[in-house]
Amino acid sequence: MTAIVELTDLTIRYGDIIAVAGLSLSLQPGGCLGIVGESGSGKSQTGLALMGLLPKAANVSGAIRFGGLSVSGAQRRERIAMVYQDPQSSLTPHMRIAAQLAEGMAHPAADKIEAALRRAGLPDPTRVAKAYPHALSGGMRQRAMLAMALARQPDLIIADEPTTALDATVQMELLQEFVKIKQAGTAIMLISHDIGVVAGLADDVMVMKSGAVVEAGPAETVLTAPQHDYTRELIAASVIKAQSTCRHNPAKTPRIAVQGLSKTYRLGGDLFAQRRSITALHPIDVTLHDGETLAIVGESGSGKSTLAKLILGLEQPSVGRVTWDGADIAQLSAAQLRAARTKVQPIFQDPFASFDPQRSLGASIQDAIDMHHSHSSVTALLADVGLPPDFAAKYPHEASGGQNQRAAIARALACAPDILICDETLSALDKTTQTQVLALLAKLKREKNLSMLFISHDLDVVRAIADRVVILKDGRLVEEGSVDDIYERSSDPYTCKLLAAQTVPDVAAMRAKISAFETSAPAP
Amino acid sequence: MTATNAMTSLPRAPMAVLSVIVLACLFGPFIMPYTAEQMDLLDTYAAPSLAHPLGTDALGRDVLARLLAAGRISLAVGLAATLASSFIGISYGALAGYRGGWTDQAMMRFVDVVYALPFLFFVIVLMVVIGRHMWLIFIAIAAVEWLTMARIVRGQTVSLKQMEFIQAARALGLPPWRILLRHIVPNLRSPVIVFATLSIPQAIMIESFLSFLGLGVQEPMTSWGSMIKSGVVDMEFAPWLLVSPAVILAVTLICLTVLGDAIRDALDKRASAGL
Repeated sequence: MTAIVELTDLTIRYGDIIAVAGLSLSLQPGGCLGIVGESGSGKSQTGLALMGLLPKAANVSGAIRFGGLSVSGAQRRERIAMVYQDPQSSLTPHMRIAAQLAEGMAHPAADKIEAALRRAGLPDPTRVAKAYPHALSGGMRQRAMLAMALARQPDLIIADEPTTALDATVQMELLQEFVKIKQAGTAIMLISHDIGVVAGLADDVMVMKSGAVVEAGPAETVLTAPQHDYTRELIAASVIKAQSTCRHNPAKTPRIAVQGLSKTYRLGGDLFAQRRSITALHPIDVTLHDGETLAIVGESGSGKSTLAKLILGLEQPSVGRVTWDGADIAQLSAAQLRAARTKVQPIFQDPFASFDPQRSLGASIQDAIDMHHSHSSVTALLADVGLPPDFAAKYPHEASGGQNQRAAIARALACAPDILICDETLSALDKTTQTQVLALLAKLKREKNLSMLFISHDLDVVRAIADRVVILKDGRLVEEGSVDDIYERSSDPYTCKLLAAQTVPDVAAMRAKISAFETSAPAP
Repeated sequence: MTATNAMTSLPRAPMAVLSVIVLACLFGPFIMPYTAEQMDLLDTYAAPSLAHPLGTDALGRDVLARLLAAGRISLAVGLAATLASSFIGISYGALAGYRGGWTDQAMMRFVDVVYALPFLFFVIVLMVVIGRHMWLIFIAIAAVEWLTMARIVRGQTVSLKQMEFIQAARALGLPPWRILLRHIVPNLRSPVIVFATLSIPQAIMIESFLSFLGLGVQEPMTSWGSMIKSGVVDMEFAPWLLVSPAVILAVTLICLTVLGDAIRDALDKRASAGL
């Protein structure tokens, strides 16, 4: 059988910089090649070279053969389609889905467009075709992107991190679509940092690092018996190790109690617009006991971040109350509340937005120390979180995500809190850094006897650190229980679905998970 | 940090021309043989010559001396009005944006109302109220310029408020005024610098316009605008009276505008480079 794509000794240079060095690969119809590597490893450059879309400055050598022939980039583009990471920015906001699909088709027709949307697994293609991108959920937009790719009946789909921006359950549903596309004979080049996703889909895996291929071969072989240290590191990092947070029986003293708490946002409501309201959180009761780690788990739109803001007193609840050590925070005066805040400190998601860009990390931490007249020093706090003293002089953009997040923890510790509220603290970090920051949080919790509210969408991370888990969906509490109850004995269908959507870096297990995953119709 | 770095990459030619104009207006009158008010009724409407490089006007006053004195007024109006409008606009906009809700609505609707007043009508009303005075020009210009500044600052503040570092500052228990002063206002630097630089020529322009209509600076004080106004009358037989103030006003405005654009581009590049 002729290979769809054959690259021989592809090298891409920008002046003295080698972006891709001597890369060779071939891809059969219906095959899937997974390319794994960090950013800057040359994955995306390879994709662009295939599309003939490299900038003029690029110096390309080597042979690109498509369907056995050496054809120009423009001709290759006719036969290749791309699916990008961010469905929000890869669809034109002002065009209806049907119009965007029609653009890529030689002879657009309404029935062909609907057929393409149906093939991408959209349940109501007539309605979706008429919709604008903003009216669709993230998963549906990504399916519409996929439909755009399929509408051109390509021989090859290059999927660059196609599921990274999606919730785990939606990711699984999309992976099922990719499996079907593969079975229909279209070749897929899957670029991803998630070993689990690659394991589920790819026949062959190529590991890249700084422009060179580190290791390549059948997925089974590479993932179960990696030959190269770098591959081993990547696979090891994809599994979060459990942290010992001394899971003794915590005393049942409530530190934070939430009673009948709900939040409704009113939208619009000026002279010209009808007032609409969205309930982000339905009445909920949650209690964080002394010394425990309580995880709040949910996908996007589950209301978990709203809950965090309400608990922190950064937003006012519509109904219900939040108590810190028995004191209703709505009853405290502004000054009392400011004083009480020393006890409860947040750590947010975005490591770069967590700090004032105009101030050095040290100055921001010093602010927190001054605020509470605490006796700690910036250097001591930095040492607590494993950063050298010279970090005090750095600005947020000069530090890495993981380092900023450590500094954010240092700032939270500056006023000696009893309770940490971690809102998706690890989500913006890569897996290796996640493990390190998680270990740091577990260590601090042990040493300083903290209670922790840990808000996350990632069940692996939660299992590694939590004592008790609350699962939220669409602003409602679905299930609550100990880690073992939730992970081993849950009977709730949504919890089971979340668990089934976790990726594992194992070919057989991941494929079984994908085919067994129960698809529900994507919500409109 | 960003602002000082941006200054080093500004275009040299407009910087140089502007420096010459500003220095000449500041120090020129000290070394000129004539003062701006010194009349010589025997030597009226003299064409440019060695004694009077830019000629003399209807009262025999040296045009170059008057031009430099007028420049002081025009530049001072531009700077002072911009400083005043920036101060009002930043305080007002940051407060409205940070408070949000009803306060924000009420404050910004007030801005809309003032925006909707026709400018000339506004100036004439002011004139009736406070009379024809130098201050009138400052007040009139500042009263118009601060509105746009307030809108820009308010928008930036609203988006800054959502940033996690502001939330973290609130969770640390920092009082609102301290969050505004230390965390919000310093981060407004880029848009404020850009808008302020671009509003200096705007203010000079408005001053010239008012003076041209006779609503601005009064004799014997003068500004570039009022010199243009009196130059127009004698345009046919003494064109130097019109040409010299018109040229220097145009050159100054162009230099300031080019500089403003350059500062904006420099800060934009920094912003897109990931700051």
